[in-house]
Amino acid sequence: MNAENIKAQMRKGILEYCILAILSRNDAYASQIIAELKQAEMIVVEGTLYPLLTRQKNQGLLSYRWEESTQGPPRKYYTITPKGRELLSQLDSAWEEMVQQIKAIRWSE
Amino acid sequence: MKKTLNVNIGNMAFTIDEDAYYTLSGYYEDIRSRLYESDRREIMEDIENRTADLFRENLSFPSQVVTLGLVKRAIAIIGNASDFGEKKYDYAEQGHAADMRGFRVEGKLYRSRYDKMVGGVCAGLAEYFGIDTAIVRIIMFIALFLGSLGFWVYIVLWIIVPLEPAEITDGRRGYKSRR
Repeated sequence: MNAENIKAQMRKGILEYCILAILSRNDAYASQIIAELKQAEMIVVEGTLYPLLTRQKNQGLLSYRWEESTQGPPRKYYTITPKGRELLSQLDSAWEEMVQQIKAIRWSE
Repeated sequence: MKKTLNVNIGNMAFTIDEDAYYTLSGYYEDIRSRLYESDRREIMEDIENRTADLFRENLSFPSQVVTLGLVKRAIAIIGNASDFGEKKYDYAEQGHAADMRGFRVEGKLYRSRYDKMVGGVCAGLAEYFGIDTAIVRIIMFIALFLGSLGFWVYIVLWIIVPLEPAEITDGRRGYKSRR
């Protein structure tokens, strides 16, 4: 069965949406974003998140500042930009739409 | 007794076992080769920072040594290098072979333990000079036809050059198998 494989692909597709959603609530360290995604079982290994964060930052969807952590050197503290919020609301409706479309295809007749 | 190294990971100082160091360097190099150049430096910095945090969380006191077990645990959390996509370049072609040489113990010449056809001399020389093993083998092959000198040089090197230490190869082999 390749259900796991397909599920992994689906999660991958909405990972960027999830990152924006998490940051829309609060600013966070990368480690906090990771912890939340892990808890939601969206990711298994965390390393691949860093390329995504960098890409979203380069696209102007997020920004970061260096913030002192409780112990040890400063770490990136991410925040969502207005452009990121705009994209997030577009993705929100895209998600709703998709759920409706699946319902229509899957449960019609 | 084991040899350790002092390293700076994510702006934090760590004392790390030699075998753990080779495994970690090979891992970083493998990830680096899978990232696009424009983001490479920044993402590697993020990953190093995260590694440092994971080490710090798992060490009960600052002077405790980072072991191979701890490095493997960190890699399990961060993920296999192959999770970072396809290779964007081969470090042998990008001058990273020079960096690879830095991973060797003081750049010493060893005979290869695993990558060998006869005595591992060619692979050892290739490793030492940071070039492809196949090139050294071709040169050696030509030398065999030009006279017996190549043959004797090989025999002498086989006798005097030591076999590489096992634990270093373990880390490096894991790294090679992911290529």
